[in-house]
Amino acid sequence: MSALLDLQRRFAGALLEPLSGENRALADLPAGAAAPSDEFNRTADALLRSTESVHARERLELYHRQYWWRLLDSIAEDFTRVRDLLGKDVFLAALEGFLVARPPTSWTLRQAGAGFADFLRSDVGLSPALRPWAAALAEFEHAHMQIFEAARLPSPTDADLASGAALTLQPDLVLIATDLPISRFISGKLTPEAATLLAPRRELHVVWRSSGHALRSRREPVSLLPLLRRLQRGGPLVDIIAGTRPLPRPALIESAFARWRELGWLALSASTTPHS
Amino acid sequence: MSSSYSATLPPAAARFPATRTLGIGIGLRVPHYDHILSNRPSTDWFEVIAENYMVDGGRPLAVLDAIMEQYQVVLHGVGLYAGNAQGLDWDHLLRLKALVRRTRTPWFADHLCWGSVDGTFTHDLLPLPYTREAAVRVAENLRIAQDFLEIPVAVENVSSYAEFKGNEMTEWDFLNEVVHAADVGVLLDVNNIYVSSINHEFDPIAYVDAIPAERVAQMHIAGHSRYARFIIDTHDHPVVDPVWQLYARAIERCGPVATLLEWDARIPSFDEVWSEAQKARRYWSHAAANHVAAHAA
Repeated sequence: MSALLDLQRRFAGALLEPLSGENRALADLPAGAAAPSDEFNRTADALLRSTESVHARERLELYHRQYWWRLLDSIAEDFTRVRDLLGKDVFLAALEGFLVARPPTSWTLRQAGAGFADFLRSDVGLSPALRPWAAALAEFEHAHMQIFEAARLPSPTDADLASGAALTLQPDLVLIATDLPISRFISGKLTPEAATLLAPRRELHVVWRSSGHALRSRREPVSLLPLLRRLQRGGPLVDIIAGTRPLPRPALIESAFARWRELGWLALSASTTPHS
Repeated sequence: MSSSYSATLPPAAARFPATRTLGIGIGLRVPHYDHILSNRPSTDWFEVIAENYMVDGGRPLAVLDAIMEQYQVVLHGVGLYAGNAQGLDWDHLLRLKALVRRTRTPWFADHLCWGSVDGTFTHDLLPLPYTREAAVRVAENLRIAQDFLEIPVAVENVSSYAEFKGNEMTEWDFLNEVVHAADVGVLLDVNNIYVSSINHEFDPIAYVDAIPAERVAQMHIAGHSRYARFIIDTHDHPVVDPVWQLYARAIERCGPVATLLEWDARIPSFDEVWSEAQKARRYWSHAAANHVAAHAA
């Protein structure tokens, strides 16, 4: 192994150690006072120079805090409803647990919160009643991050529809099916304590980006979920209808397609040659 | 390497012709979007953080396209990580190349740092050991990036809070070795030199005097946060006098190169940022005159 690679592994290993005690503070620290572990200190002493004014351990700790607070601040911004549900301290503990278990694997910071919903579903630090709620809300909130920068395909024209062009859902649209009535929490009409007492209820939420780039969400009838999922896979309308089980009533399908088209959810499938 | 993009480049001094005409710029930041699109201020150019626009769609790209109708933009990366021992991230490079083509940026600059290892990303600009092994690796990565992107690349000195025991040379010697071996330009961040000079107790003028002036494509100026025993490069304050003095010395050496004010946190109004950036112009004009006179002599 090269000396450079060995150094980078040791340095990164120290940064990924969990925050502890005093090193949550942003201010100057005395040398070694907030070290996360003995190994952290050994890494600092082995790799870094000390000066009279700043010890090697403090220098590594500056990078350690920067790593954690950059990630915590960035991800926390994207999950405000989860934070409201859990409260600030429990939320930050869950987020730290998530980052310890799943450090970032993408060059973009915007993807750092991907997988947070899955983590919350099994986070033993949360009460069993809170876990599914936290996971469902995290999934709902992360959908907004996904659609913010997603592509947008051309919308079908009347001629496209008449010619049987292959359709799909816009890439800047996410379907969220949940067994919890998260709509009550999203609309802000419920305390976290009351939410966890509610009986399970199947809900379908669609999160999408409007033509003016505003991020929107609305509930759709759960009976339309199979049709929307089939539509998302793409194809000519006749194939989509034929491949949907169970198929909603024709009147419901007709009104749904009119609404979806008006909302800008329908797209020409990428494999479709635009109608000339 | 005869067929590589690098092999077709003109000498370093002629590689960044736009740097002599761009003037003063500021970073394109979200809180200023509406002001820029509505008022079309007379800014010379905008620097764009590449990773914010390496996306498939949405408002960021729509705004960028609208800005490009009126302004020159220059791409600045924070995620190339040319110092990574395990090489470059090709997903990142592919998206970056698409943005390079979309923006027609005259050059691309990123940092002399590393940031990920074994697939884990720190999202920070981490310091490199100033060793020959590291210089060779960084130079190799920068050459690959420059050849792949097919535009001139410049590398920026970073602020640092740690120095490695195994260093074999000074930071400025390391910078020189890398840019010559990679045949790339320099984005000289004057504030970063000042921050590191306090944190590591060296003479910032010695740094500025040692840089390869003919390779400097662009300069950065910025504010920082001073604590009792060190400085953190926060980009959330106006530029302090010692940094302006260092800047004056830098452009005296390098001539009137494109200069950009960075303001990334606690961002004030567009007018306040632009007003701070324009302070560079008085140093710029003065130094430009001296530079021309010196060359004429």
